[in-house]
Amino acid sequence: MPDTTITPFSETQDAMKIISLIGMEYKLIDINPIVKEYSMYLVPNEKAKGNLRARVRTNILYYYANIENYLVLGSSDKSEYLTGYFTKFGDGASDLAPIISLYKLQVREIAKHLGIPENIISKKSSPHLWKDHEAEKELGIQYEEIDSILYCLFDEKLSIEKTAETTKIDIKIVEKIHQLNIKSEHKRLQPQKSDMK
Amino acid sequence: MQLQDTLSNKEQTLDISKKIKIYLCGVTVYDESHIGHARTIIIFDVLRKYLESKKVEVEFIQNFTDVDDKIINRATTENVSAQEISDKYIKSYFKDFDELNIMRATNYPKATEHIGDIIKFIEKLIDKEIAYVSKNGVYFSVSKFPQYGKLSKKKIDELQSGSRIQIDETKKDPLDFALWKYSGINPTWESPWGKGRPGWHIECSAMSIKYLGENFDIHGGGRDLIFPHHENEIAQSESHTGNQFAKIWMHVGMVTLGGEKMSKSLGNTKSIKYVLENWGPNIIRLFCLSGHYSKVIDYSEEILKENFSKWRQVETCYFELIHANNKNQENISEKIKKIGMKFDKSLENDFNTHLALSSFFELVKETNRLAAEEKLGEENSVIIKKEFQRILKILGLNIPEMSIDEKQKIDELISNREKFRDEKQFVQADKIREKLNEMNIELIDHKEKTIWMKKEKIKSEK
Ligand SMILES: [Zn+2]
Repeated sequence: MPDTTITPFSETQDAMKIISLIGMEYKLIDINPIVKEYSMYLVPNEKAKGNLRARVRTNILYYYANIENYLVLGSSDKSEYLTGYFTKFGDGASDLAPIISLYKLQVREIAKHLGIPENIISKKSSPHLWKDHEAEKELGIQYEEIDSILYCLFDEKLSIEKTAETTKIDIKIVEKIHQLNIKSEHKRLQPQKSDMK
Repeated sequence: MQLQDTLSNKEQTLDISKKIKIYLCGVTVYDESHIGHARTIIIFDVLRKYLESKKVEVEFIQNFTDVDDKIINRATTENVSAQEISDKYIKSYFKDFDELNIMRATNYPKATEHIGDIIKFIEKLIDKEIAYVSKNGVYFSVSKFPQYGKLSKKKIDELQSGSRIQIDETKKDPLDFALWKYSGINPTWESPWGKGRPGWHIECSAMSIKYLGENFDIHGGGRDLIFPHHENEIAQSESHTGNQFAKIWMHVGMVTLGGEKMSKSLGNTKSIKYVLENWGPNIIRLFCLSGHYSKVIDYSEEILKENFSKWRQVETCYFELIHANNKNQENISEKIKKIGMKFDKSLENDFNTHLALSSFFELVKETNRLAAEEKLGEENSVIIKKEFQRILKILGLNIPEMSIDEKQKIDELISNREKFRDEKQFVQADKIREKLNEMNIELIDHKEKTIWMKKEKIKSEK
């Protein structure tokens, strides 16, 4: 589901490559006309429009899940999940999240094991919500570092200081990743319900 | 109800047996609104309040122009997005106009949220060969609308010969105006003709028809919008639908300052924030309603001072009515009924708020006279209060309700003061008087009693 004005064509080619490897059914849907139609009636805002792209994709996934009586698989991994690096009710919405307990580096290892083409494994992670959008650029840090920090903080339950010491990463960066987790707590929770017994 | 229609240059009857649909051109949100905007919007607010007091349903649409060169220029100067500028001034708009006691419109459509409607509108004009695509955008071909000029009473050939040397070579005729402008500066939208943004006039045609239908009751705005804005709106809309656009065009005169046009480019505007801070909403409303809406009114501190003393009379009237208990009464019901009818008649006759205000002040003066002559009893008070409150509500004037606690406290202070005075303890009595002053309580002495009134705090009073 590329937005052909935003998503590089190479991304679509990569997706097609995987599809032909597995031999699964597919639909290629350009979400651009849908996003465009939305923006004809909404106050312009580039950031909100970026998240709108993710949510348009979710709408389409559930549309077909509805028709076919399918469940939707989510593609979030543990690195994205813990830092809140996903769109709430966008790519964050699914019925099953099969790789959510794996850090991004682990996902890459499994991909190698599964024989996924090398260029797909090694390319920069990107949500492509807007032009030239790259995850590491937006976060300002490499996934190697993010994963080590997250592992220390959440799997080993180390303090921020101890994490910085163990990973030898600047404590400010550790602090930043920790903050990303705290500020995105709402994305991982069910809607808060008032007066529900 | 009769209203002067700019288009036919005659009074037209507004059929109030059914729902009334009104479209008012709102503000371009790139700066603070000024007293000129306030006047137009207050006039329409009172029109609406009057109609609703007569149990007429009103659908009231007022747009925000939130895509415009002025907004983009300001955004560039301040190094922020156009959206931030328009958001800021929309918030500011509501702060000002809520404080002016303006009833919120049924809807405030924004141009940026109706680009789809605008594009469809333009597409139809192109299909009908009334608009054409050129190098710089899409233009409306004025020569395709022979009635062009019917609102502003301008003749096409005079306009053409009078127009300055054509700068835009891509236009077929110097009078043609832009429906869509190609642009690379945000905000922009994709369109069938190229990336860009809508011209100013088209948003009002697209949005008024979307919300109110092709042929609605009243289209309003300031007189400065007659040409070219409203002239162009008519041309676009009637070409699009093939039907009459608005039934009545109602235009409100400008507010001048020392006889000069108030304008942002001249830097002689009085912002609503400024006048609200100094005079409060009631005095501004009285001022804006003081002349016939179609005529110019001149802003000056003296005129506001006059309205200030009028407002004090209104407050006095209110508190006299609250405290009325004279035994000896005049029969006033006929008189009051007549005043009320005169008030309504003035508004029904081309919405003459100037005359309506005279009737209102007749009521105020009559009440204050009765009070001074100790002839204002409870029965009188009930009759007058009903009419007084009705008019106050229509004019959007507001005397804050006081709590029972507050009233009791004031009564207590006053009786203490009287006690001290009876005991010749003048220092103590004066202290209470000071305290009452601080609370903006003024005492009014009558032969038999002393009543109090709570005055609105007006900064410019001092
Ligand atoms: Zn308009």
